[in-house]
Amino acid sequence: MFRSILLILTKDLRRRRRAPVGTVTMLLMPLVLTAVIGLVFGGGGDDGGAGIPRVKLLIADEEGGMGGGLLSGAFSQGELAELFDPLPVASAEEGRRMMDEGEASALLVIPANFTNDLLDGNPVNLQVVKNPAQSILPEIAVQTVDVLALVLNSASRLLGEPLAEIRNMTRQEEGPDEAAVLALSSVIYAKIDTMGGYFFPMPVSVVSGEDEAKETVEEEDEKEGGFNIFTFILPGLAFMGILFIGEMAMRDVLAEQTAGTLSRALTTPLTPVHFLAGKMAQAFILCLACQALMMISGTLVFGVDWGPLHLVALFTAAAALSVTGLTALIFGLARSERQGSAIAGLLIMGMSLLGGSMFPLEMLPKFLHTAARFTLNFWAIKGFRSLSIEGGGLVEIAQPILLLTGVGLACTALGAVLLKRRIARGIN
Amino acid sequence: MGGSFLRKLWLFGKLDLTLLLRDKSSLVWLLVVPLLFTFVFGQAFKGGGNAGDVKVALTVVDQDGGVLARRLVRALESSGFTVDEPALETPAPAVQTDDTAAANPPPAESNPIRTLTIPAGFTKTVLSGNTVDIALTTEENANPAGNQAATINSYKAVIRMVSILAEMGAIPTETVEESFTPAEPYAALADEYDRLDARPPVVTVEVSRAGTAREVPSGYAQTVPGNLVMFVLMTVLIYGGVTMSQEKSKGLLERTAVTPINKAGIFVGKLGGRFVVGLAQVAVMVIAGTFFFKLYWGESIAALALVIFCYTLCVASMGVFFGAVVGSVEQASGIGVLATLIMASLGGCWWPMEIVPRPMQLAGHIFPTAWAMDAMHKLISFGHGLDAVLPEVGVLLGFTLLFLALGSRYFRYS
Repeated sequence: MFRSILLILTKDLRRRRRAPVGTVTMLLMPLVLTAVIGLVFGGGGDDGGAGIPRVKLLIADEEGGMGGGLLSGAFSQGELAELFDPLPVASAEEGRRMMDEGEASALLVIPANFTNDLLDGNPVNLQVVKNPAQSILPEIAVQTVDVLALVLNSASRLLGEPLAEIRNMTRQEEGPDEAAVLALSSVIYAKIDTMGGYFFPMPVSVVSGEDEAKETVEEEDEKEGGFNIFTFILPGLAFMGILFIGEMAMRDVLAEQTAGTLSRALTTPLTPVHFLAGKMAQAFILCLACQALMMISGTLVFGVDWGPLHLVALFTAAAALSVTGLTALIFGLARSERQGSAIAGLLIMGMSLLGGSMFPLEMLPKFLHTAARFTLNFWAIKGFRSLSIEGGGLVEIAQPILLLTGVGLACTALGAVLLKRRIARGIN
Repeated sequence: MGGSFLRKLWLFGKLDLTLLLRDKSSLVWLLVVPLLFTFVFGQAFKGGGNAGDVKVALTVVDQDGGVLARRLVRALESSGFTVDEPALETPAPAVQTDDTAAANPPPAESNPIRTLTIPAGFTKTVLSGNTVDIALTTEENANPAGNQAATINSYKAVIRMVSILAEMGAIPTETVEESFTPAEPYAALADEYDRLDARPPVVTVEVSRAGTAREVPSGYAQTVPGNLVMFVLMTVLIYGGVTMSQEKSKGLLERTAVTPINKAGIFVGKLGGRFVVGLAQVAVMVIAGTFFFKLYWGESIAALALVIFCYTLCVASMGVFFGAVVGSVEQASGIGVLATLIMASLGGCWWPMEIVPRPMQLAGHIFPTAWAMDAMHKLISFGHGLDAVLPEVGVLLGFTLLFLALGSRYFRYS
């Protein structure tokens, strides 16, 4: 029996080696997509950290005075300089024209008489024009201007009076009285001193749960040579790839039936059970081999660390079994090769979208999170990430392993029964 | 002559469409998968990082209940939060040290997505010049855009409060100290705070959008055009490649050669077939986009139609070229999927191009997908008209000519 199964298996693997395009493409797909996504979200180029390009901000300073200069200069200083790429424009009209052409993420218009109005406590209206084709970068600009407006409000209220006094003094023809200047200086100093007590440091800090977790992860990453975005992306895409490879392998059962090669094979001492076992073994080994190849490529090309080898091997076997089982069940239920292929394609894409292969699950609304738990991708990604990113051991991956193995065994058994019936029906 | 040309186009187009519609598995990829992609991608990117636009639910656990804590809650409410305040199991102690307060967990029965805990002793700590942390905790799978908005808005509320306190700090210190009297704790402070807080802000920020579009682009303004561009390409490339490989391997193309139609006619017919199949995919996405995803398509439907027409023609010419060069069905299917995914991801169909590093943005423009997406954004997001998209239309037609030239160079009967 084992010899017959081995014969079917080696024949199929030899066939795949002779016409490797399909398998190679499915192998390449996760690697290429990982490279693209990693390059897009991994930062680099002219970016200002966090992998997001700098916000191109047009600034139309219609006043050209001290206040406007200070405000527009804020975008080239300190942390804001890392976030923004400020570009002065001649006028608001020119800025709007450029925005209509989509040449920047946002435009800030500082109104004429900005400084005087601010010092006099008159209403000042800063205008921000957003690029409607973008969503993230213009919002960074709006939020930053909002915070600056809050700070300007405080400054105007706290220092407006003495600053206005200075302005009045400078307007006097005979020049300011020395004693008055000294008195004013001490007032300003006292006010700044009081403000300093409130703002440096601020008495209230918002500490997010994420911050603490992030710090711990960053510290650990630093120890291990930094966070590798490819380690985060590749497991999900690789599992999607082996789902397609499993589909391709199990499709063979129905393809051979359609082509008549199955009937021909069954005129030999080969039984349907041998045939099916050979095909399932082929699917399992192909999935296993492809996953291993993707892992090796991931390590060599992207520097992905998959975790302890023995646990990774164990988990990969469970994942491959689940793929073999699921695809066997699909083709066992399908009425034709085409129908099976269509259902499998739909299911694989659906599971990959919902299960976190294409983007992190957190990006989806809550109602889809429950659906995600019913996908193989969710559990496969959970296990692989636990080993590669979280440093998990056997205990941490026990649940995903049990689930994938359980689903794999149940589906394989059911799929085998259905496919055997189909083969028997086909021959009769 | 012109009538005969169009007739050939139509005949081949009809044939290809009939063959496509007869194949149920193709229907799944034509109808179901694009809509599934659009829906899930739309859900994933609908926040789009618009921290200011997201109405975020925030549970505030006020363990202090003091003057400043209540005013912070008020500031949070006016910062765009939907604030929910669960009743505490035990009344908050009047005064508690910072460290002890931080250890108090939020009520056990609630399972909120984001919780901001104002610790007991908050008011007293702040007013005595010490620092205090307010903890913003988020559930593991909470939406990142919502979390970002929660953090930003919390900071804005804090800055607003601290600014008023700083202003009040300018009042002689004794006045504030006087308000600490146990008989009427902080009453004077509260009154003064409210008076200052009630003033209209000196500096306001007015936000508007560039362009002339009448409607605010929805979250699907990226995903519907993106998936339209991607699935037209995928359907035409895979279908075009697979059918042409089959026709070559089965000798069907050679058989066509014995008909009165010459090689150029067959080439044009193949182009027409792929064009009609592409238009079928466009129709699915436009109908779903309009009626299911409620997408506003911009001010100029004629310009949009022209862009889609040129893009579909470009993809059809690419399909003929692809069909001419691929050697087998397996190659057509595999390379078709891979090529589509690369062109779609680099062309800005999956995520907004703004978040892509500039060199990658430039690299994406070697593909027609990026030009089609640029044109769609100009029409849908900016509300521009035909004149704005003429450069993109020109580039798409340029690509079409290039692929037609390459396709005719490599087109063979077998």
